[in-house]
Amino acid sequence: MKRVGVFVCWCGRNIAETVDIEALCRQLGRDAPVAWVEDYKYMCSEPGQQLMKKAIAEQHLDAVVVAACSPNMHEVTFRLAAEAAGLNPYRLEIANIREQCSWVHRDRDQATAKALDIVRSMVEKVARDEELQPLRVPVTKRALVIGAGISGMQAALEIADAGHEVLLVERQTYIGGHMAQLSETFPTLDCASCILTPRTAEVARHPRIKLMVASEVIEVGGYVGNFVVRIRQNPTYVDWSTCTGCMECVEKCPRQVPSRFERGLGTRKAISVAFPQAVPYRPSIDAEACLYFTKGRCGICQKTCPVGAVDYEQKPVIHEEKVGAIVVATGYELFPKARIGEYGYGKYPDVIDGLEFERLNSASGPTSGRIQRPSDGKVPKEVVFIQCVGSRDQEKGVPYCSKICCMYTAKHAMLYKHKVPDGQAYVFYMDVRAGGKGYEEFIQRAVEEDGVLYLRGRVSRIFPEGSKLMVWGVDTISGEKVEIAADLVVLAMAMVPSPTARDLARVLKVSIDEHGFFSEAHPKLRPVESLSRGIYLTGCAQAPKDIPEAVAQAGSAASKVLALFSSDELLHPPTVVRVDPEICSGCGLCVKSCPYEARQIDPVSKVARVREVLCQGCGACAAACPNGATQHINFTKEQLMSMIDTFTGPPDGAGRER
Amino acid sequence: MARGGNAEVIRARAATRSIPLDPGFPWEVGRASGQPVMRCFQCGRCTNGCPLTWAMDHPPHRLLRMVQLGAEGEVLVSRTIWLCSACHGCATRCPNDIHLPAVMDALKQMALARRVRVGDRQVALFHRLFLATVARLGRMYELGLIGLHKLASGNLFGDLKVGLLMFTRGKLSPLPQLIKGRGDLRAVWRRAAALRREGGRQ
Repeated sequence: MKRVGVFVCWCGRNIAETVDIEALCRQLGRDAPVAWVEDYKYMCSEPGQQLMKKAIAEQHLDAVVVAACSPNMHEVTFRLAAEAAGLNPYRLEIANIREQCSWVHRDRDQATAKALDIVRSMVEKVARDEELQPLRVPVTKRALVIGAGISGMQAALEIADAGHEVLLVERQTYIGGHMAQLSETFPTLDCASCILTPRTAEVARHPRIKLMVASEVIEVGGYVGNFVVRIRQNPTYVDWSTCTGCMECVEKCPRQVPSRFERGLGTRKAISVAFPQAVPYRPSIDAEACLYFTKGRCGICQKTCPVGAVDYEQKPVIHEEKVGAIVVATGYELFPKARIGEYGYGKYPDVIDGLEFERLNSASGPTSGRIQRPSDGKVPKEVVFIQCVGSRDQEKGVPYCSKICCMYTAKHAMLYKHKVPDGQAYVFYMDVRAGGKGYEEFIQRAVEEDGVLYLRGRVSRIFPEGSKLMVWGVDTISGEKVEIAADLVVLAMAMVPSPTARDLARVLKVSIDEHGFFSEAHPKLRPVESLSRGIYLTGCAQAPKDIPEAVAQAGSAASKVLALFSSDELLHPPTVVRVDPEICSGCGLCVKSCPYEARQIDPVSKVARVREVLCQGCGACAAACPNGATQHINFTKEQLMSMIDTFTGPPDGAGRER
Repeated sequence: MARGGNAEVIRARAATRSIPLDPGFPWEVGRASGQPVMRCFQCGRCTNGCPLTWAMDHPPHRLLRMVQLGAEGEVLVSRTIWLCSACHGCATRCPNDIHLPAVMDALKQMALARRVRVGDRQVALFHRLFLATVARLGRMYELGLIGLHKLASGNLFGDLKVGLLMFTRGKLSPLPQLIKGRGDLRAVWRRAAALRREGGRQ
């Protein structure tokens, strides 16, 4: 017979007012397995814990029930105290007589009777609890960062600088993400390339960062500390290890196509680098545009290459890598513009989106930074910027605020005025959301110093008239309708998750929200963790955010990875499931019921087994098991039945007394 | 548009009218008044505290928004700019430190300079006669000003009761009080007029 100690907490008046503590203790003291009962006003306080520790030692208790608040509050507190007193922490259980009893009842007698049942059921359980040791799992101190935009690069650099190897995987052929497309950045108007290129160069030469561009993560197995990742490296049709980056091939290539990087405003060759400052500075062939691939003739680049690096036979390569932690930094895209038909996007060449304006304004862009409208190359004198296009639009777009558009629109209008001082910029807005250091002042600068006219309202229609675009809107502040004959219209399109996010979420087995952004574990207290241990989130993959925030979140995600890598082993709770191979029939119901892939059928013995470090202790398989071969440790069928018996047995607990 | 503005404004062909935007106008008003009129974000505190909104055709905050949009035609004929009594309540309360009475003064001067239909003739007349009185005498001469205003406006018997009451209490002096150096004052006036001819009247 175990010697169980029961410690009843008053929780000030929270419990004591509704539950008769004295009667409860008296009753419990008569129960057979209970060797010691004590009560205290605040059991969680230091003196309360001391009292429990003393009793464990002096009374030689080998199991403890603390009747107090929810185990969510103080289970850890009391288990640590018990461990300090020499008791196995898994031999301590909490009987919740506050949230599940005193807080929800008024009648003192009935509440006391219920509290007695609750504590007794826990006494029954704890008397059958095993002594357990936490499971220990080794950690692979190597991180995978998916996406090499500013946020992913920052996370990779911080982890690598701390001394760990990082695998940085990027879908495009270059690193830097959308930031590489930007001209200047708010609210300082410093040039994006000037602050980005030192970072891309650092990533490229860092001895501990293994960079994989034109690559995608296609499969993730394993668990925290020990992920096994399969990465597909897509063919670039140029062997980058021999290529010297002389760009002879690009020069000779006869095929010109619209450049994706320039968002169609400029052209590139079928074999090309995305942009002149691209890292790595190596060309790749777009098979959809290349004459060799589409028509089967040409081959000029191969003949031109002085080192014979062009290889039309290149195939995708699958790499398998082991990592301990994963950072997701897949970034954003702009809302599909064709979906906002009333603004004529796609129909009128002079209606462009924000990223296109960035390229027009960029010194390395198709116009070398001169503001010229796409249709006829004229310098626009009247430019209309429209905010919230697709954002805050439940009808056609997304309901959320894309957060960065207010600021970049003010930046666009300002930069335009700096380049075309005799031009006029108009901004249609719904609200100006300029929360951030120096942000409101930036907006005011646009209004007061650069004369940007802000009009509150959403544009209803854009239609061409001669060489102009007529913009119909309203200024709701004055209540007046306004009509502007514009030369160029710039739409601040909503920010949506990267198109690859949905598939990646499936591969990673982490959840995404209704819009496709990765879900954080807690919106306030765990903003960079996913719900799966060892997988962290940063940048616009999680939600729309600007560069400073994306960088800050990257640092935060990196610090989570480093904390994980700071120990050689991870502890895993031992309250997992266990299989009795003698009973197991190998039916496989447990495999189907497990949401964590912790169950599998052993190919040799044909019985089920448990991958303990993956098991989260949910108990779904134990419930599904038809013959009881799978048992949840410390929640065995015997334990649960004995607990139920205390509730369904005689109310006065007859037969328990010694 | 005429001055400064770059907007090529075309009236909407929709049934309701649309406002002609003139982004140059607020900058003109800003220069003339010395006030950062573009800074206004329409909080409405000026209008909340204004004692005269009941008589105005546009409450002060809306007038300022019309200035920002460049609705010059409507702003300059507004009664509001003439009815403002310059109590400075709005200027004290404005979170953006815009001195609205100074803006109103600048708009009055622009309205006169551009010879638009004056929003409130009585007040404009009063302003002119007041300045004429001060220019001649160097000081205010209430009885003379009232007399002149009555003759010029044709409203001979308005406020007669109040006038008599003030007179019997000795609030209205029957004769004007003159200052020394009226010649110097006239020189100041001439100089101001010359400056106006040079700089003003864009």
